[in-house]
Amino acid sequence: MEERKKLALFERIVTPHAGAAYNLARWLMRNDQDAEDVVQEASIRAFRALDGYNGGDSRAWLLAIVRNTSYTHLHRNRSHDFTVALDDSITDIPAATPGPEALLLKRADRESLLRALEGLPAEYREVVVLRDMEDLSYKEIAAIAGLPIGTVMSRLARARRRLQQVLSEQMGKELQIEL
Amino acid sequence: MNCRETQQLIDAYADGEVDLVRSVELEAHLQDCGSCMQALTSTRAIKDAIRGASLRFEAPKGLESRMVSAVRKETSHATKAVRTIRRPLLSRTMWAAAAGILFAAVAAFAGWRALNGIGAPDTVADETVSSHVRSLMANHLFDVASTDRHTVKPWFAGKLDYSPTVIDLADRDFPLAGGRLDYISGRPVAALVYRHRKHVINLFEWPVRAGDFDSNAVLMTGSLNGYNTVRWSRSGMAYRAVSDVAMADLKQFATEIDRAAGL
Repeated sequence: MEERKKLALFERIVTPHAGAAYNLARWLMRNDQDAEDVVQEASIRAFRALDGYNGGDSRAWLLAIVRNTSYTHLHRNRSHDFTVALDDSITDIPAATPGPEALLLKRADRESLLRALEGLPAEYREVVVLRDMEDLSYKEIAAIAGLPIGTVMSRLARARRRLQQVLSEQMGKELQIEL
Repeated sequence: MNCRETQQLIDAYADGEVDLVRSVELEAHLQDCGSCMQALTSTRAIKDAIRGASLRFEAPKGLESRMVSAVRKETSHATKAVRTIRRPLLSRTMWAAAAGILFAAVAAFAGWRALNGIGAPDTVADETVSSHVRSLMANHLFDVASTDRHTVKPWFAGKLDYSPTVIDLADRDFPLAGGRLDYISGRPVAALVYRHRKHVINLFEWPVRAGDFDSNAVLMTGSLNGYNTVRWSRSGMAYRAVSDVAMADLKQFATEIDRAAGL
């Protein structure tokens, strides 16, 4: 493809998704500067790969590149917090906490949610970001992360269980202080 | 549907990702079960909290234009490199440097492709994945159900114009479950069915044809519609494994099969 045409195509299908790209990179890298670097590097990768772009959903295509670039950086900096072995089995997902926690969650403020989500392993964080912020389907997330759909389902369930747990512990403490 | 099954599906249900039939069963259970209903309420609460808290990070100002200029800078570097190489009076060391840069660029690109699961064009991926899905849906996993390769292999005689390699990997946690005659790209091929824990792996085998990608025993991975695929070839036979097991497990399976086939 001609360079000039490629640039035009880049501006048509890649740059409109700058917001989604930045959000995913920011959540994976957990700081502004690294997120910016990842998005710029992913842009170059995406440009080089434009010849192979098959006309599918360009946002999902770009997010897959952003995700791979982020993981490359995380591994390189050895900061990848893959310390807990992930359990990806579809069965034995811990049950959702019933009871008053559901009501408490309604009171959770942005700051505690932010902290709780940032505290999850990257593999759990990304599925929540892609599902509950970017509104992607399980199928799209599976394609972006290179996972079977069943794994997307179980990671989401586990991620939400952990968030519930962390938040209700936090709020329990706050309640005690209030009392 | 019981509590256990309901709990496994509760997030997918809250996300609107459960198919109609199971949704109906699940809703019937929810009507009678207070604790599962509470679990749904609590899952919805966490979803709503995340959505409601506007946790998205806004892109910094001017990011789009910085993306474009990063790409422009990159392409102008590339153009300059080409011009340098074309200059006639190049010293030996400069040639070596240019070759080094080119090699690094090709290697980086190849690495990127491997990282993204992109390889040579994969034209039969759709067909093998569809066949895998069909075999599970229509409950037509086998024509011959047997864990004994001495039963499965002879079954193909007379049905194919080649003799497939049939290997049992029961000792590696991939027991053979049976075989099936399938049609890929308009000709009959051997489909071997293996189990891995609760998952099914379909392994397709056929002699390499003109137009088939010949990887020469290098495993090529990919994924399609949520299924993982590994393809490779050895000694003129093309192999393709399709399953919903994790990619690492599928690659291990492929490596074991390839090793046993090469012995």
